[in-house]
Amino acid sequence: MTISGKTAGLALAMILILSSSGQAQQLFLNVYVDDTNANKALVVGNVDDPASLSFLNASDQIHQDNGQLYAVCDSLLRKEGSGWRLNFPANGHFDEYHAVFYIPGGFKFQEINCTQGLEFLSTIYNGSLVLDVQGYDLNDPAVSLSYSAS
Amino acid sequence: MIDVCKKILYMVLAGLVFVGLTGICLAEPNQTNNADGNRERMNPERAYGMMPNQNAGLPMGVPVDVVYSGHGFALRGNESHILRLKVEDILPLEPGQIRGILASNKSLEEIRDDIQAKEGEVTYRGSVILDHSIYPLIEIVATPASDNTTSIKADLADLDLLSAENGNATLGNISVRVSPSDGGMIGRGELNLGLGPHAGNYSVLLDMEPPRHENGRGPADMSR
Repeated sequence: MTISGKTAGLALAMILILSSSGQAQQLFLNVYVDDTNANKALVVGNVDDPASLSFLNASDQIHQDNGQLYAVCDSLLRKEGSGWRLNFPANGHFDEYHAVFYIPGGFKFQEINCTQGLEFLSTIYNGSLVLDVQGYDLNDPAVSLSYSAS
Repeated sequence: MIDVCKKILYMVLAGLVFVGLTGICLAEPNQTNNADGNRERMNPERAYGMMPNQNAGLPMGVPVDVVYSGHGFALRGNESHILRLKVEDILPLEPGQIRGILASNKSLEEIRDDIQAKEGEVTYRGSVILDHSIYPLIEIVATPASDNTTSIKADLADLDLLSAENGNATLGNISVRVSPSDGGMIGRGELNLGLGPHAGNYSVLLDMEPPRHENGRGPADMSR
């Protein structure tokens, strides 16, 4: 192979590797906070690359079934003052993002922070506090919310 | 001649590498939005510490798949507004049911089995985002037709009226006809909002995403 051929091959390989590492993905997940053990949350739904959810690394209960993700996590929540804070970061580029958080009844939101590009809607459903967060064409989206007893 | 070709080739390859690297590196910086600002834009009447309105009519459940997704514009006169439409398949499970399963100390496989036991009852959940406002959808009906088109109709939920269990708990409605166009799919239709800051009648034009997964749904009426 000539030098120019090797160079072309290397350049093409670099482009392929770089472009694949930045591929957009989709996320649509629900997060249910346990009301008996406030540190525990169930994450259910679908994300193209579970490695983009770093908090899963701290979970020893993860199951994937036909693209559907089930995980019990105790690293999403931490006590903050008299209430709780939930941090939900994701790494990578997401062309579609939809996360819905369900907090047990008897609480109210104190603070909701979402990175740029995310829109949210809060409501109450049958006694559960619900935060619906959506966005498109996002880089490293993150949601952080705090809640306390109402 | 060969040297010239080599130089041109090197320049082209360098340009391609530069374009590839630039596409990765030009990411928007992360910014934490002020939750107050977001909330004021989205729900002016919902301030810090207040309890959001209750609602009993929104479909709730575990997401399975994105069935329809499109982005484009809602047009009214000489106004154009960014519009997103999303419809997802969900397994209808209430948050209380999920927490009951979670509290039962079952294994994750057992939790999965309990959730998937609802597989036969898959229903739709959806929303429209108009500019920066999320409008949940109810009464979603998707009707595929024989000419590779699909009609999507839904009501936009009025969360305040839903909380009062008012039978007419809608802010408006949307209807979109999805059809093939130039190798892709487009959605054309109408969006009607009777209340709120976006009240008005709009024509809708959406670029529809291809199906995420082919789930083998038949052509029958799929009202949920």
